[in-house]
Amino acid sequence: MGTLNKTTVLQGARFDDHPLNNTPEKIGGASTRFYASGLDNSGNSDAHSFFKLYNFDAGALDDQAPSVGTTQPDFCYRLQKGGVEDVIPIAFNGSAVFGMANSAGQFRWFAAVTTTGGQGSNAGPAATVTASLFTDGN
Amino acid sequence: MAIPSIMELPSGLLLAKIDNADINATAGSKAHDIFGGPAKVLLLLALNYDTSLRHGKLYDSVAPTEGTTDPDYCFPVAAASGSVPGILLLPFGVNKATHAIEGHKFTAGVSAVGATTAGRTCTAAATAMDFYILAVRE
Repeated sequence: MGTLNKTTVLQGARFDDHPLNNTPEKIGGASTRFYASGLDNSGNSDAHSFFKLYNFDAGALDDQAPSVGTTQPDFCYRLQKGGVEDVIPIAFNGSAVFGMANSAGQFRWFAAVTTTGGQGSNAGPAATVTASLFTDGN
Repeated sequence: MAIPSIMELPSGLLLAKIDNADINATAGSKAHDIFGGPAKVLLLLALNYDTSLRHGKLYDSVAPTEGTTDPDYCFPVAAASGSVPGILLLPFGVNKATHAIEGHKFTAGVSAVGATTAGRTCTAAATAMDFYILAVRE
């Protein structure tokens, strides 16, 4: 392999083998960017699962989470039946900063997995989906 | 040279451009059908020329009702900065073992909208978005 000639390398937080279901999990702190995730839906061989990210105002005490099935997700991706796949939303803003940004202030990234897309219901998958999640800080 | 709305390459790959006039969303109206039948979507490129963040949505459905039907996929697209649009590039079905982009099958059809609001909601239309979708007819 040749020598990398980039002076900056993506760095940040990584969650490995993290179980996800219909309980929202905070995965990013203030002003964090979401880069990518590896998701394992092999426990649900006969059903799609929906990976959702919420850019949500966690409140001044950082103690509020989105209500799955009520809060609209900002990002939703249909995992294939039994699929093991990487989800890589390659995002840039107009200034070419990489990653999906959350809003300023008290907003945080939360992740959850349900059985329906969009707002959907709060029904979780029959089997927990395992995720590796990459952000630029938590 | 303008890209036609759907271009079929010699390999059978389909490149669809859905421009601003077609992807705009208003609650209660029907989403724009890109493929009116089964297709495997490999790659999405979404561009946002607006100076505010906008939301794209894809439906595995024919003529879903905006604001009522839950999208199977939704994604934020960052605000533009000057003449540089916000960009989101999303590969579908990246196989974790082989790293190949295997795509996701849309069994009913592929429809898309762009809106100012996330998730299921289509409160107001995005006014400056383009989508490019690479797919294979199934």
